[in-house]
Amino acid sequence: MTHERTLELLDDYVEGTLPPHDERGVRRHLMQCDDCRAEERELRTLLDEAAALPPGIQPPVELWEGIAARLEPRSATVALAPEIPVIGPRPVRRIPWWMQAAAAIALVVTTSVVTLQIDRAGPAQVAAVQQQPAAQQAAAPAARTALAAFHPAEQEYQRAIGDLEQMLGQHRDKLAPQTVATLEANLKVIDKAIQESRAALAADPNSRELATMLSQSYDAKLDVLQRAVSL
Amino acid sequence: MTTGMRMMMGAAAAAALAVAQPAVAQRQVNERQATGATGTVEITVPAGAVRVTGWSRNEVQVTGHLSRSTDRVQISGGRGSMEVEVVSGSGRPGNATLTVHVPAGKSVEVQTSAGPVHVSGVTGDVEAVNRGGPMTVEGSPRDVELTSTGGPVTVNASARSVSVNSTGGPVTIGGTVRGLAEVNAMSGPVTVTAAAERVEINALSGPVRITNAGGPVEVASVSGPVYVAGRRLSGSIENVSGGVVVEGTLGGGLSVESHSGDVELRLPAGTAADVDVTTYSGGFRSDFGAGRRDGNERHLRLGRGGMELSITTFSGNVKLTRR
Repeated sequence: MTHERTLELLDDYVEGTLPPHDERGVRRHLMQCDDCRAEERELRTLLDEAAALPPGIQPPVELWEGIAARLEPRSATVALAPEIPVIGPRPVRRIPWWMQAAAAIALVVTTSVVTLQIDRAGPAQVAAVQQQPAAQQAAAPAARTALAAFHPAEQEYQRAIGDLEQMLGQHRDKLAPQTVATLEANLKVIDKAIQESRAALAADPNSRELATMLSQSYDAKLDVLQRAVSL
Repeated sequence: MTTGMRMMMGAAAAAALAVAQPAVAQRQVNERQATGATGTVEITVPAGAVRVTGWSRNEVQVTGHLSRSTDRVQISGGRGSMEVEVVSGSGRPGNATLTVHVPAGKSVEVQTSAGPVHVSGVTGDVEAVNRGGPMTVEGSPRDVELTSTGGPVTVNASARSVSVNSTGGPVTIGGTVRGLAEVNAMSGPVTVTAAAERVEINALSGPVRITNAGGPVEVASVSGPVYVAGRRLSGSIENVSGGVVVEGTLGGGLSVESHSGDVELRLPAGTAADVDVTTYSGGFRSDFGAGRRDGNERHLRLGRGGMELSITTFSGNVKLTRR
């Protein structure tokens, strides 16, 4: 996504109201653009101060409850209501592992999974929550490579993918064989892309472009899995 | 009894059954009920073919036949909302083949499985769910929303918006879409020839072909080739192993990504854009000059620049072609 377009969409992005394609485009641009990231930080700060985010958006599909429940212990210090979507289909804001990615790659600690939960949980719970992954990222040395900086985001990706694969496994027999075959064939294509990007990034660990490409491949896998479990 | 006689008797019995069965099992339908010019007609047919046609009368008419004599068509509702449903006196209803005439201004909601659905002549919304047959929508509906788990989906209409969810079979949208043409498809080719204001396609393996886009385009695919042509193009196109070809004029920022597929942009000679090309191991060819190289990135200014064009591949080749 372009710089100009990102700025146009940034308000909605921060509000979490963008459709998935736009959301993904903005997220990727943020990983590469210092100016837009600064703009995003300002917007989020304003929102934090105004405590303007609406609480308790209901997840539209009960499928996501399992993931929400599994992720909940990681923010155990927050009284996270079960209906708060940690991950979910459109238009609910998904788990912002991308924020960790953006923050990590840019070596800027801005937000995290927990920060979003803070936005929703209210100021009284902020202090306790800040001991969570954001704090771990804050401790990251500034000289880390893009590969090392991507590591926390990659772990989040892999956790989410594992959850979705488990959910898919539970209702795989309800899908038509042709649908399963299509899914598996395309997931293999994406896995190959992930492997190639991962290997290239390992060989060139300072490449921000490769980290972005790897993130894109993970995004593609998450999109496919999310669609598959909602069939 | 000789073998020949047995065969003759068997054939005669089979012929008698074939003739007798429709008369015994089928039930003809011819029902009608007055209603208002607007509102919604819900049509539920557990299995079978449904043809819905808008007409100028303020009346709902259902004709056709039911495969079981114990089944019947039930029409309920009034001036606004109406329901047409095949119900059974015992167990699940059998197959139905129905033609439903509705006031043209009504919205229509159809639910069926294992049979074709055809809607035409309706100017209200059209919503249909089909679990096993082809769906076709024609005419000038307002908003169209179709869900299919098998069978082709074809919309050839002048609509405000069209949304199709399909897990199998080709999806084709033609005509004119004044707002958003949206397709989520698991497999099967997706073809949008409609003159569409905005297009969003999410596909896995089927080729995606958009030939007449008139503005923002969002496409995400995994393994099928993607072709996008139109005017005032902007938005984003993402693929993993499939190639991407974009052809037309730009109307805003455009981002094109493919992991291993080749990317080709066919642009008019007068295009004004700032182009960023990032590729890890793919080749680069350009009719607009090589630009400035910075590591894995290239920066080109086409004409006086302005609109931002971003192309990213891992191993796919990138080609900028002057049309």
